[in-house]
Amino acid sequence: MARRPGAVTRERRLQAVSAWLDKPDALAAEFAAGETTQRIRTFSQAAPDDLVAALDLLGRLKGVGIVVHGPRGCAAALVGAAPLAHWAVTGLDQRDTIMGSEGVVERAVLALVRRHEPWAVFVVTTPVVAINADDARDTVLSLTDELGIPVQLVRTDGFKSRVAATGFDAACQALLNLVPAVAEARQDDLVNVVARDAAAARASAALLEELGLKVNVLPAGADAEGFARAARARLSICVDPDATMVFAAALEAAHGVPVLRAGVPIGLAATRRWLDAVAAAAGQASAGILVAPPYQPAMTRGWKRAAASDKDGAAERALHGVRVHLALPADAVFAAAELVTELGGVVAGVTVGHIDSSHAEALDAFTRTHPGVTLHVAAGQPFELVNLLAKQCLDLFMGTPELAALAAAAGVPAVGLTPAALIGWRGAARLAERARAALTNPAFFRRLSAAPSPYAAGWLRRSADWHVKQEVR
Amino acid sequence: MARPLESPGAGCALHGALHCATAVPGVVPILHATAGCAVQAHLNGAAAGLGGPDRFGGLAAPACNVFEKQVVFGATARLREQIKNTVKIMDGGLHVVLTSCATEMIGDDVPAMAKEARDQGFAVLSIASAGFRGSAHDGYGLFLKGVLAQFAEPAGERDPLLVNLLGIVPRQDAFWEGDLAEWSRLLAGIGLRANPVFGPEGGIDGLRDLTRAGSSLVVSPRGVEVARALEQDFGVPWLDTGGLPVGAVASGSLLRDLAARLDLPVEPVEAFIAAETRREDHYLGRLADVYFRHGLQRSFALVAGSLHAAGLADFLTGTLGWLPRLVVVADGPPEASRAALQQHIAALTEGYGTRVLFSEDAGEIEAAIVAGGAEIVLGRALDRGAADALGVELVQVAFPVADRLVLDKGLSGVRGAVTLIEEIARAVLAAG
Repeated sequence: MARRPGAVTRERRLQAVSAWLDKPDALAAEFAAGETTQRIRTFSQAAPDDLVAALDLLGRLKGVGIVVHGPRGCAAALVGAAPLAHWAVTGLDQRDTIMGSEGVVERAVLALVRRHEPWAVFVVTTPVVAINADDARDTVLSLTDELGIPVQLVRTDGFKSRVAATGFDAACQALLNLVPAVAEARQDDLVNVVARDAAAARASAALLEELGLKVNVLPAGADAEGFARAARARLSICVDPDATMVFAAALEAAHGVPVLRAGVPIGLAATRRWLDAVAAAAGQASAGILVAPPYQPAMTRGWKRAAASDKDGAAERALHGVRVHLALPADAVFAAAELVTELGGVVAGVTVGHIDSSHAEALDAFTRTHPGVTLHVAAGQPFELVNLLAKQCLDLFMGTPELAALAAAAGVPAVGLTPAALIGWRGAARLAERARAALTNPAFFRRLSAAPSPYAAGWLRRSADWHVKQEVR
Repeated sequence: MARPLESPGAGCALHGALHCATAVPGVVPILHATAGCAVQAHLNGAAAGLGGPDRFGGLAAPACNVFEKQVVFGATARLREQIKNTVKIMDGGLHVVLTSCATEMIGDDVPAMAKEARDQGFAVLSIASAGFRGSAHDGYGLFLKGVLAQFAEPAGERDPLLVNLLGIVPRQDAFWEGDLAEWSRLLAGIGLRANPVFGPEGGIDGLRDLTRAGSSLVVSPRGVEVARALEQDFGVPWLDTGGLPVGAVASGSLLRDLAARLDLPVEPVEAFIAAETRREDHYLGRLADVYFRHGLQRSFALVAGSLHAAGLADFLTGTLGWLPRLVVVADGPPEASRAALQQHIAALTEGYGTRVLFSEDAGEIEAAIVAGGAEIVLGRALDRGAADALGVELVQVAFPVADRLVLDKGLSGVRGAVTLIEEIARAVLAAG
């Protein structure tokens, strides 16, 4: 019988927090005590849900099929994403919400299989079917038998968790069922790079090439062969753990492929530590690699090469004295803060979409290295960010492109970079280059910020967490 | 009853209503929905030529983000709280609560919440726009009819020269801003003033002016119900164009029809049309060299919404001399409009053995394109596979458009025709 997917929410599994504005030490103390207090918003703006996250991840698999079981809008994000997967939506209408939608999942799956012959199919549930208790599990089980390919149910509902990453977990659980057991011996030089973002995987793989390792990237861009190789790997490295650690951990539990928990290779020292840890785990070198040839010269060359456009050799000082607000996923933001510090910058604040106990260690270290910095936890919620930025006397905002656009409109010179763009030596150089450009000519930010703000003047005078309260259980 | 669709382009009715609300400067949407609905709309809407959201759209759209407890026990208290804080935080002039599948299924009394806010002096409307009510194109009608029912007032005196432009759906018709601008320009050319409602020239006053207009120009089936409501409730007459004209000939014809209905003086209208025709002649003349050098007389498959399908087919066939193999109307227009649209397209392409297909299903569309064997595909980003299968160029002329940033370019009127020619040439030249 197929494994029954369905993820425990991040709130329950990892005490995830989705609203916070304060110094980070108080939150670190909550994690240390083993219980976080949930805070909720009495005003909110658009936020992603578990369905959006699950589709984001599953859409990155090559050659699979996705059937979204719900009204057509529940699959709408896939239109803009140009996924590698083939997809369809059951297109529930008003009548179906009352009478049920018997047979439609089967019809959708069969049509997709006839046209595209996917090697696996995911049936993803939505708020409408969750409210209707319109369970597709039996259909999925019988289709698996009938079609001879894995047909997996991914349960997302849009309302049980305030943390969209719960949807990554639901998808990851289904992905595990695509990994066949292997009788063959492990391949000692093969490493799984477990990544949602293909760009992050590519950047990480480029670093691993320096260690002479072969890379199997999944789930981003992976096909059936990639999943078939997964259990043969010597180890797995997760480069965006917020999205894919559940898959890597499940691979470890089910197939014995150990996960190297070495953080992400963002920042100069962190990249060195990461390579050192990978090399040690892969048996490529002993500990102490940081100072041992041949790696150290290669690393030095990597940074120098990456910063080659920096003619006066000032890349290391690119952010000297610059006050920076960072807005990145929690699995990357603390490493990025270290990188900002390495480049001479001062971290004034950080924004993350959510934070949970898997980040507790990094958060704890951050509170010690960056005392007094403001921690802001919000997925989206630009009104909070705009309010906060106005009070921080910033020189530079650095975050995901969408948030960078918002910061720029608020008048802060901004750099839009995803975590993938920050990976390795090249990532450090890229940040230095972009930051210097933004600081050198702020004309575009000034022009953008001249337009009227969508927010009332009264809001900008209030505290940025005026509307956040503790949840009453 | 549910009908599965492979890779339909458009989002749901809620998305369409949300795109409409955010495309009216000054209108603040309030999504009474679970988290995710607004983000799906945002990510889908970005496929309309990659542009970012409007001032109150995208991640900035106020949304209740209803969670489990509210799904079980009701979410009206959450909505009350959200409305109360939205009017404090967002700097808008009109607030529109949009309901979703979840909040309609649990039976929240949203109109009562909106009325409660109105009683407190805030401009708050509510529109039943659950995703299961249809596609994003249907959301256009839901939004405008909701506004007419709750916000519009009978005009004391109508402005005979003011013309409502109806049927162009923001962010689902990829070239919506350019098309609204072009028809505003063309109407101004014959002495009329457009009421575009949406886009930078629109606004809350545009919503108010819907009932003050002398007439409505309906340029796609999506505008028909709105025009009917305006006529029935406010006496605004309307003219159905059967689609947006492309090129000087078709555009001139429509401008003449409109001028005749409104008793405009003939001479200045003809002078304007003549000037537009000269303009197009000029550019067609400049095209000719490339046309013959690169063999730009092609057989084509066209995949477009009901807004553009007929107009593009007409221009490609009647002006550029192309050979229509297949025309797909890919936005699922209302059943009642299909026979007329089919006849219209069939008449425009008569004599070429053209197949006309109504489908939103990417698999069915791909099969039809491949079977038709055209020498170029004018379609959507979703039609890349079909073009590749045929080994021909794809020119993206309909939602979703993913190969370029579309800001103010349109595909209708005279300027739109020139844009179309440039885009075709760009694709052909890039392919070598």
